[in-house]
Amino acid sequence: MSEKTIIELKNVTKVFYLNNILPIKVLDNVSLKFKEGHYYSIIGPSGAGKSTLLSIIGCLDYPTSGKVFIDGTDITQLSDDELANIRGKKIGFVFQLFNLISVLTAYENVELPMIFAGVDEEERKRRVNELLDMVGLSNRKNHRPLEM
Amino acid sequence: MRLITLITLFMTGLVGISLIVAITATINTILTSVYERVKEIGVLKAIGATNNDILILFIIEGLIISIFGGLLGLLIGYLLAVAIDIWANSQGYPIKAKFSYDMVLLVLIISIITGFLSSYFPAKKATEIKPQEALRYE
Repeated sequence: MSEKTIIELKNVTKVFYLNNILPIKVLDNVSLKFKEGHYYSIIGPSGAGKSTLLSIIGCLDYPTSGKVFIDGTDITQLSDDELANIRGKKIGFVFQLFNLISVLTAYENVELPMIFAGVDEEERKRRVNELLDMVGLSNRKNHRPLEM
Repeated sequence: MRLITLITLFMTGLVGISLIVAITATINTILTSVYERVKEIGVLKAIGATNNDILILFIIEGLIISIFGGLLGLLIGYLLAVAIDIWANSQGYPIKAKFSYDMVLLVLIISIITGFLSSYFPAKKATEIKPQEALRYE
């Protein structure tokens, strides 16, 4: 079985500035490789930098220095919009809370990322119905998050 | 005639002030909805919305508010003109209150410009929200 590296971090450092003066080094020269088809957990005490690391891997934030390759692309060289595109197409987030948009129905909540990704309407309709079917929510399509 | 000129001038001044107030109020409304939705904006960005998508969302909201406001203003203005006309006639004053239809177009154009101008700044603010900050304390 080929062990393709899909995420690679090279010498990633992230420094935050407390009150814009005091530097806090949250990630110090982190180098990691993640192989395709594996399941990884990142554990550590509060304040260890887990969220910061995930933010960077999830293309939500840039590292202060170092390189991050997602599927071979160095994301530290990309613009905000290109990052948004990668987030939309290659990365799935499971939030601690649902973070559903409360004014949109279940159907629309599932559809939203596809709109941003530029999927055409026909395909969106097919896919949304398929996904809702898969999790057994077809009968709740038009319900809003608070009505479920 | 001098009195009419004076009244027109006064009314124009009043309209100008209303416009400034309207712009300020719209900026405030949109800005409030930006801050209320920091987390939502973070989620939208996380699932792939670009800064442009967010900008357009909020500008459309501003346009809807201002066009609706313009239409409401037109309706009130129309009713007021009719009411003044009826009242003046019943009192025997030689006043004719007319509703100018050219005004409809002008008001709608001004509404759209106002809506755009006043939502652009808050919308820009919304695009500057960083997704990881919006999602940090869940």
